[in-house]
Parts: sequence; structure tokens; C-alpha cells
Amino acid sequence: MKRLLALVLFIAPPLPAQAINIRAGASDLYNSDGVSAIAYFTDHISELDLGIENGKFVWGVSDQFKFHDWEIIAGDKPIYIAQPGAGLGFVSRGLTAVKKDDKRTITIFLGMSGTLFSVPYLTTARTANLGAGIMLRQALTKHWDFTNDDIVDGGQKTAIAGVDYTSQKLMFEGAAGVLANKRYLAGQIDYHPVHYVDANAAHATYLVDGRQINVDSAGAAVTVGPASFHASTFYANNLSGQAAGGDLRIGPVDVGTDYLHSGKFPDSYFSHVTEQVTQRIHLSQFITTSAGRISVNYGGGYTSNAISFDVGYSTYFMPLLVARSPFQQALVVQIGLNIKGLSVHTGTNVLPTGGVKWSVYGNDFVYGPLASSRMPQDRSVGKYLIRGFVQDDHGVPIEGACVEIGKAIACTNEQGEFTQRETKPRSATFRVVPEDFLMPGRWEVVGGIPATVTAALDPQLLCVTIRRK
Amino acid sequence: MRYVAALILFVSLAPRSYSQGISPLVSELKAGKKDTKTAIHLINASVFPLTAVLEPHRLTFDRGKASILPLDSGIHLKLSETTLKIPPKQTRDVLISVSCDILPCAFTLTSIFQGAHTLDGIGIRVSLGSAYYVCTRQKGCRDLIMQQPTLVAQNQ
Repeated sequence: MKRLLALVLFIAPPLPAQAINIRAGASDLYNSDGVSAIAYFTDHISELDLGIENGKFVWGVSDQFKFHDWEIIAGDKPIYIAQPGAGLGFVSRGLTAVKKDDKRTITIFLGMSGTLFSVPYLTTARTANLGAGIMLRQALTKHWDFTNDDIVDGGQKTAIAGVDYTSQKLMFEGAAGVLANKRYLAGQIDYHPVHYVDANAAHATYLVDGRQINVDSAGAAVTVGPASFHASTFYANNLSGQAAGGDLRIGPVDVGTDYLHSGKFPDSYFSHVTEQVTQRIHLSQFITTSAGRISVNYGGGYTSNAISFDVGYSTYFMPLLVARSPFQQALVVQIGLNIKGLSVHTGTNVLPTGGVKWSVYGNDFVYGPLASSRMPQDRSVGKYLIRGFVQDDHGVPIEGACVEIGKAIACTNEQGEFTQRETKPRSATFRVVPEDFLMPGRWEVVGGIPATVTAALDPQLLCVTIRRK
Repeated sequence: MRYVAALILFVSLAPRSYSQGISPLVSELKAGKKDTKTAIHLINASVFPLTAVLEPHRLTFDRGKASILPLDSGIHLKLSETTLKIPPKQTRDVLISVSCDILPCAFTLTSIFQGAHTLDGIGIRVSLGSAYYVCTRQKGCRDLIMQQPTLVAQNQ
């Protein structure tokens, strides 16, 4: 992993780029680890990905730029079929051209095509076939859209046409054709007659490891003040499931219960109570009743700007489970860290077969020579103030003049005033920074200014006089 | 001729300065017993560092027409920061804490984005405005503010 990171940093175009996004991660869920670098230039974006997936070295590279009205991607471009329930995604390693306007999006690609491997820290491909395609999204009217996808990927052909209708009360999607040489028909309808009632029904086709799985579902939800009720039914893989439940929120307490039924398997009840203890902390209790057994589990979470974590139980419908109820409750752990721009995420995920896997990944930015250095961000509204105003040598207030207070910067508003808030009444270094002024020109300070300033509840107004050189 | 030159310069520099954003554009806040708290999200989607300066104003309406006035003593507004340097492809949140002597009330935050300091020429700024309505539990908060210009006059 360290070697991959060093290789990406070595190969990635470092200096001309203004911002380089470095991502790295490892996952038991995706059985992979890797690093990637996305370099943002003024006129193009380059990406390099290197990793190990299932024990094999994988890579990805792309360069994205504008050519007249077209966006050109040379290299890897993930292509997704955006039809209802059509779970098909692959990668084109070649040339892709995209043209977008208010009413139409056209995507044309030609090159090697293959399996896309895309996770939050890595986007790579294994290409084996020659592929080509044209995809169209066309707005017909205010409410109606038309879509058409024609793709050849080696020996597999996909040709799907669909329409969708969206209004405030009704959403409908329908598509038909051939998906990877298999007959494809999908539809989804969602009716929302008033803001407290919602009803939906869907038929979708998923391809999992070449296996075609049809999923039919229907559901409804009603919200009455602080209470909400929902019911739904699923049918997939010769297995059906029904769920119904309700939720009630009273002040900081949220109480909910769900009844779940699936064929010959015992009925289950999943109940939860969640208390919002403070703005940042919540606690949860989960009570499960199934086949005469009652189990109680506990969870909770904490959220702040720098760190967040959540431990809880979620209920999943898993149609590929064998000899077990398709409704399963699984422990889900999510941890997020955000320290000085570096963000790290780790957590567990549940597979459709019921297994629990983990992932950890993070990303950070590296900046080029023209980009500013990092600046601390205030996490609270401080009550202590440092205030002042900037004027020229004729006493006219100056807008856009900037001063540095400790590590923070404050620029003047249209009245020539600046304000800096602090959480403690501490002293900080003070200096005028003409090189950061928002208005053009060469400026200098007239007269003396204090070297340090102290934040106070009702501070004395600092006065700074400047003039053009 | 000077204006033509300025226009050409603006057009040539414009592609560098279109990638700023703020959210939310309009926000309706429920006033509580203590200060009402919210946040504004500033986005620098460009590949250049930007400086953003936030300026609050009172939002008033006269016969349905919106206008902004300097913030008066009736609105107690605190911002965690008023100036931010946002590195390329980064976002920043500014925390807002507000209370009003008379409810409902409304204010705007103008976020002025500008690139690096220049010694010569002109500086181009992009100003993006967002409106905040601080409401009671009464329905039709915004309509009430729009229809009651006298509410503003009382406070000034």
C-alpha cells in the first residue's frame, strides 16, 4: 500500500496542477487496496489509479478536456446504464465524447471495453473486448424525458429505450429492450397525491454474476403529524416478503416498530427507540422478536465537524440467502474523521448473501504553487471579538483591505470594517497583509499598528491607515 | 474604450471565476428561545484559491419588491468567520447564530468571492446572495414578512 502511494505521488503530475486529490483505501468488502490521484489543471483533469484487486495488479488512467462543445475523455470512462433497475456498469478504455445542453445529453464511446471496478478510493478496469456505443437523454416536454442506449460490448449487446414522467404528484419510469443479450423490461411508479401520502410500485431486472434476478415491489407510506406508517411487499428469486411498521417522534425521542413476514420463515418484529441526548449525541436500543426469542441490542452515535461515529442495526432484505429468512438485521458501524482537510471513513457493509465486510478509505488534497496554504476553520461562533476599520490617508473607508490575526485572515466590508471572533479572550499577532488585499494595487501602512491584539467582549476599535504606494 | 477593454478582460477572465457556489440560497429558520443556529456552505469548485468575504444585510420588502439595508440593532447576527480563504476544490462552512427583537425577520448574506491580489488591472468579484427568514410557528412566514414593510420601519 505504501509503495503504491509513493508510486502515485511520483508519477502524478505535481507542479503545474493547482490541486491534486489523493485517495487511498483498503477493503475486505471489495477485496482490494489502492491509491489514486486526480490532478486539476486550468484546462483539463487527469486521473491515475493503481491498486490490487483480488490479488492482481490493476490500473486506470484518464485525461478529461473540452473540445468546442464536447467534453472529451481519453482513457478510462465508467459507463452506466441509467435505466430503472438496470444494474449494468462497465468501462470504456479509449475515447469518450459527451455533449450536454439544457435538453439533451449525448455520449459516444469507442475503444476497449471491460469490467469496471469502482470503489471510493480506486477506479480501474479490466478490458478484454472491443466496445462502442451511443447513449441519448432527451427532454421531450417539461415532464417527459426519453432515453436510448445502444451498446456493443464484445459479444454482448444492449439496446434499451425508455421514457420517464416527473410531476409534483407522479413519477413514472418505464424501459424495455435487451440488456446484455437478455430480455429486459422494467418500470417504476411513485404517486404522491398529497404531501403526507406516498405510494410506489416497481419491477426491476438485476444482473448479478450473469444471473438474472427480477424483483417486484410495492409499498405505501402515510405521515400524520409526528407519526408515520408504512407497508411494503417484495417478490424476488421465488421468495416473497412483506413488511409493515410505524414510527412516532415525540421531542427528542423516536420510537418505531416493524413487522416482517416471509413465506415459511418465522415472523419477526424489529423495534427501536432512539434518544437525541444532545445536539451531537444519540443513543439507540433495538429489540428483536423472532421465533419466540427476544434479543435487545444497544447502539449510539456522536457527530461533530472533526469526528463522527455511529453504531446501530439495520434491517436488510437479502433474496440470495439460503435456508434463512431474507429479512436480516445486521450490525452497521460507520466512523468518519475530518482533520485539517484530511477525511477518513471506515465502516461495515452487508452483502446480499448476508456476510458482513469492512472498508477503510480516506482522501486529502495537495496544492500547487499558486494555491493558498491551509487555513484553520472555526468550529464555533466565538463570543470574544477583535474589531477594527481600515481607512486611507484622507479618512475614506477602504473595502477589501485584509489583516492577519494569528493564523486567520479578516478583510474589510463596504464600511471598511473587519471583525474576527474568538472563543477565548486571548492575544494574537496582528499585521496588515497588502499582498492579500482584494483590491488591486500596491499599498502600504501609514503610521503604527499594534503587534498583538486581544479579543474581548466589547473590544476597542483598531484603526489602520493605508495609502497607495 | 476603457469600458470595452474592461469588458474584454472580464470575458477573458470569466471562465476562471464561474466556479463558486453557496448553499442554501433560501432558508426558513424556526426561532427558538435561544439564538437560532444554522450554517452557510461555501464552495470553491475552481482550481484557484479564492477569498470569500461575507456581508450581512437586512432584507426588507416594499409592496413585494425586495431591497437590502444595513443590518440594524434589531437583528443580532453572529458569524463564525467573515473572511475565508478557500483552497481549490474545497468547501467551507460558516456557522450562523441569530436572534431578532421582532419576529418574523429576514436578512441576507452576500458572499463575495475573489481570486488572488493583483498589482495592476482590475479585480473581479462574484457576489452570491442567500436569504434567511427567521420565523415563528405561525404559518406563511415569508408572506408575512413580504406584506409587512412597517415591521422594518419600527425596528430602525
